This record gives sequence, structure tokens and C-alpha cells, in this order.
Amino acid sequence: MQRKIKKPHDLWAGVLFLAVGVAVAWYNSYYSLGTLRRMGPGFLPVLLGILLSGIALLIILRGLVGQVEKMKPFTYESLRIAFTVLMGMLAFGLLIRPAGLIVAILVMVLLCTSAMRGYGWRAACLTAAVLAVGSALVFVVLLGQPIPLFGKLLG
Amino acid sequence: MDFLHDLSIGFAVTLSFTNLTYCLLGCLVGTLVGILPGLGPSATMAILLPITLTLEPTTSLIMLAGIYYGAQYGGSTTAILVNLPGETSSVVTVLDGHQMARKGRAGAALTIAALGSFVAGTFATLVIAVGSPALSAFAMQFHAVDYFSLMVVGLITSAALANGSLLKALAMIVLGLIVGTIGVDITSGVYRMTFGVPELLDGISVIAAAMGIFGLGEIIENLVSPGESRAAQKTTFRSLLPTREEFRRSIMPVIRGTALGTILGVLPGGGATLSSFAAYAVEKRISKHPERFGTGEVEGLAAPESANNAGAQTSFIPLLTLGLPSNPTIALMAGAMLIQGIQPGPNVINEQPELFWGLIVSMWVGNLMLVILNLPLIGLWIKLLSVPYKYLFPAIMTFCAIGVFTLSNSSFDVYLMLIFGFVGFVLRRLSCEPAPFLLGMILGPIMEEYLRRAMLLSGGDPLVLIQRPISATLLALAAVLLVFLALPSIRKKREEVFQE
Repeated sequence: MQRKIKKPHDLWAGVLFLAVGVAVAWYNSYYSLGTLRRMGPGFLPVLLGILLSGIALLIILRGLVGQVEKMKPFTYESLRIAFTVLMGMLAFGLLIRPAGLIVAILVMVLLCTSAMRGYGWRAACLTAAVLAVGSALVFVVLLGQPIPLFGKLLG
Repeated sequence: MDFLHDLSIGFAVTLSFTNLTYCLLGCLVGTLVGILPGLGPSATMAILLPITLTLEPTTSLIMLAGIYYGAQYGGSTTAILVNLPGETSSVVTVLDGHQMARKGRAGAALTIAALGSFVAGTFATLVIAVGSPALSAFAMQFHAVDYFSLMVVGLITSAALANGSLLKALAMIVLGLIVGTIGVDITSGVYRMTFGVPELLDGISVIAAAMGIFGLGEIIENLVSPGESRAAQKTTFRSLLPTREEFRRSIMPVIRGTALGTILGVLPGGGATLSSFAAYAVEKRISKHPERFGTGEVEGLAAPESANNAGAQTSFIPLLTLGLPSNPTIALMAGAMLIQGIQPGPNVINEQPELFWGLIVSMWVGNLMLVILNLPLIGLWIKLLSVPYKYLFPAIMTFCAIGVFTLSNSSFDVYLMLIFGFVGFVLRRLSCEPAPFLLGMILGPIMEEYLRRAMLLSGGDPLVLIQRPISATLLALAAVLLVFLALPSIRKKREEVFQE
């Protein structure tokens, strides 16, 4: 009987946890471990890394046995959406200081609406404008948050 | 009756026109800002804190308390309606509350949350009034090792929340603990896993991580699989009210949640956060239909919401009696007190009885106002649901971005949030639930501190964990919980193996 992967999501999660666990244990072993009485900075992270690796091995084992379960796949479309949304957030972070709140929100909203198929550009521009002006009014004018409305780049 | 006398002082202070007005104003503003998706109680408090500083100390603290409750209630509302918990304690509210909303019971969910919170708030206020001194004495009984064991119990209960596999939940907890160790090690001053990034010295902001994993992760997931859309629901007046059946089923969970929250809230170090997790776990365990939890069970909403509010209330006790802030929001409160020239601690109750009792009574009044304020507004909040997701998700992203940016006024937290958003997306695809991760991340640094202290005191003898009666009891409880959680899956696996 051929052993096939029964639960791919368990297997991948396990592999991921194992990688993190090993990396954490290895990386932190360079810090002083100390003794049980006087624990060094590396003590707990190394312990946790080993613990995580152990649990990860069990998860991997379990991914190999039992009934077949389907995994939510990482399709091209799902990755495209994830990256577009996150790029929008990145743009906000990059622009808020140099260009100010209004521009940052406009760019972020325009970017992230492109994650959704069939979002006409007119609706996207309108949403972006409403959100930019609205949040400027609420957060800066009404609540007095120290966020620059227009950054240095715009004079 | 001594405490009646004390309470009467409190009522005299609170019921003055000025204080009542500011209490109402605080509740209103707190709800309004807290209801914005992405702005949790801590962010709301941080944004509104400057407004209160110009007021006279008592009034300012009363208003701040009002903001706190308002923000909490507003936070629960967004958690239920748009599945976005602003604070860790409402992570649990999302599980069944949002599912109820999806089933068209949003109004009922909000009403039950409001009433449950009010009952819990009333009871917890009484407990504070009667038992503050005794309770702080009880908390003093806890040694470092007992706190450590208490948190172990908390972490294990959080694994009970995950609907998927126990192993993955445990892995998520450990991962959270690991992320929690990032930053300067307090004892040795060594920079741990900061990779030379100065912003990481203080550790990773829990709020940025939570908003990334829940907020952004949820947005991505919704865009990827839009099948189960939050279609605009018919909201008739009847659907706003809980059915008699829902009422009946909520009563006991509210009582149990209140009791749990009141007790756990007193313990400094995340007690209030634990309480909603614990209350949910208890309901799930004693329910006849544990498999229905997570699909919109009213018990799974009523208990944690009550526990959450009771815990929020009694978490003032360690602040007022020991000067120990027990969560980030209470820490902001402590900060406000310090700015006003009040040193939080055991002396407040003796030196400024008006302030102490006024604050306590205003807690109850604030809760009452919240109910009066919010019950009529529930219909309006529900309208939020009928906004198409197309417009809602850019708005949520905007609020998340601004909310996280204002936390520390730097873009760094925004970047952290987007990294965690990606992590949340990957983990969701791999069917790993993020709630245990967050709890691990919050409790990690505190647990390490207590473990170190315990080991130092015991001279490096790990047996101390089972020698202290409180700690031993708690650890036994954790072990029993773990076995209970593992049993069904072990049994199932054996069947699977036999089938092969």
C-alpha cells in the first residue's frame, strides 16, 4: 500500500512549525543559557524552540495518517489578492510621513480595491476620496491626532 | 454596614451634574470611537486620553472610565458585526457572536452582549465595593510560581477554543510564546531576536499583531473566498430582540461568566483577558452540544461577554489596591492618574475616598448608561452590516492603518501589522487558528518573569511547581484539561488507524 499524504495542511503546517522551532532553538543557543536557578536570556527561547519542534513532528506524523482531508489551496488568485492588499498597507506606511495622511490613504485604497475583481475605477476613486477626507476630518480635525495631513513632499 | 456608607460617598460624587455629564460623554465618545473597526479599547483610550487631562482629577477619571466601558462595548459591537476584535478579550466574542450575526441574529447578539455586560458590571462593582481589601489580600497569597501555573492553565484553555486540531493549537501557543520573547530581556538586558532593529527592543506590539492576523487576515480571506458573503439582512424590529429561548439559554452562562470574570479579573497579569477565554471554555465543556460552538451558539457569546466585562471591572482592583496595572488599557488609566498627580496604590482608598468611591460608583452608572444608550442604537449599528463589503473593506483597512499608526506614531507598527497579516493568511490556509497564538504572545513575557522569579526563590528546584498547594492544584487542573481535550482526537485516530 502506498503511503500518500493524507492531510496536506497538517503536513505543511508541521514543516513550517518545525522550521521555526529549529531556527529559534539554534539562533537562541548563542545567548547565555544560564542555570535553572538563574536563567539566562537564551534559556526559555531554546526550550520553546525545542518544544515547538517536538509538537511539529507530531503534526507532521498526523498529516501522514488518517482520512484524507482537503486543504484550502494557495492558488495564484489567493496570492495575488494577499499581496495586493498588503502592498496597499505598505504604501500607507511608506507614504504617511513624507506625503501625509490624505495621499497615503488615497494610494492605499486605490491599490487595495484592485484586489477585488470588477471594482470599477470610478467606484474606487470615490471610495478613496471619501475615506481620505472622512478620516482626515475625524482623526485629525475632530480627535486632534498628531498626523500630518500633507507631508513635506507636498510642501 | 460600612460599605453602604462608602457607596453613599461614591453616589454623592458621581451624581453631581458635572460628573454625570462627563460620564455620559465618555461612554458616548468611547462607543463611537470604539465601534470604528480596527480601533480597540487601548487605541481608543490612547486617542481620547488627552481630552480628559484638562478636567479636575475625579471628573477626568470618571470620564476616562466611561470611555473605557464605551470602548469595550463598541469593540464588542464591531467584533460581532464585522468579525474584527479590537482587543484580545473580544477575540472570543468573535467566535460565536459573529456567527450569530451571519445567521441574521446580529440584533439579538448585541442585545444579549449589552445586557450580559450590564449584569456582570453591576455584580463586579458590588464585589469591588465589598471585597476590595479582602480580594487584594487573596491576590497577595499568590507567589510567583502560582502565577506561572495560573497562566499555564490559561494557555491550555485557549487551546480549547480552537475548533481544529489540539496539536496545532498547542503549536500556535508555543509560537506565540516565542514571539513574545522578542525584545530586550529584562533581567539580563540582552537583545533577543531583534536582528538589529531598534523598534523591536520593546517587543512586538500585540495590537499590531492582532490587527494584522485578524483584521488583514480576515480581509484577505474574505476577498479570496467571497462565497459566504455578509449579504444584507432583513432587519425587522423583531429580529433585533432575542427570542425567549435565547434569553433563557443566556441566563446561566451570564451568571457563570460573571463569576469567572470577577475572580480572574482580580489577578494581576492578564486576568481579565483570561476570563473571556476561560468562560468560553467552560461553556463549551459543560454544553450538551460542544460541536455547535463556533457556529453561533448564544451561550458562547453570553458567557465570555459577561466575563469580559466583569473582569474589566475587577481588574481595577489590583490597580487601586496594589498599584499594579493588569492590562494595557488599565496601564493607560494608571498613566492618566499619574499625570493628575495621583499615585495609584493602597493609599488612594484612605487618602482620597471621594475619588476612590466616586470612581467605583461611576463604573456602575457608566454601565447603566451604556445599556440605555446602546439598546436604541442597535438598529443603527446593524445597518453597518448592510454596507456592501466592497466599501467596507477599504474602510476597515483605513481604520486599521490609522489606528496602528497612532499607537506609536510610527510606520513601524504598520509594517509589523502587514507582516502579521501575511502570517495570518498563511496560517488560515493551513487551518491553524490564531487566537491561541495571541494569548501566548501576551502571556509569554509575564510567564517568563514569574518562572525566573520562582526558580530563583526555590534555588533552581523545579519541584516547587508541585510543592506549593495553589500551584499544584492549578497544574493538575491544566493536566486534566489537556487530557480532556486530547481524548476525543486520540479515540478518533485509533479508529482511523484501525480502518487502514
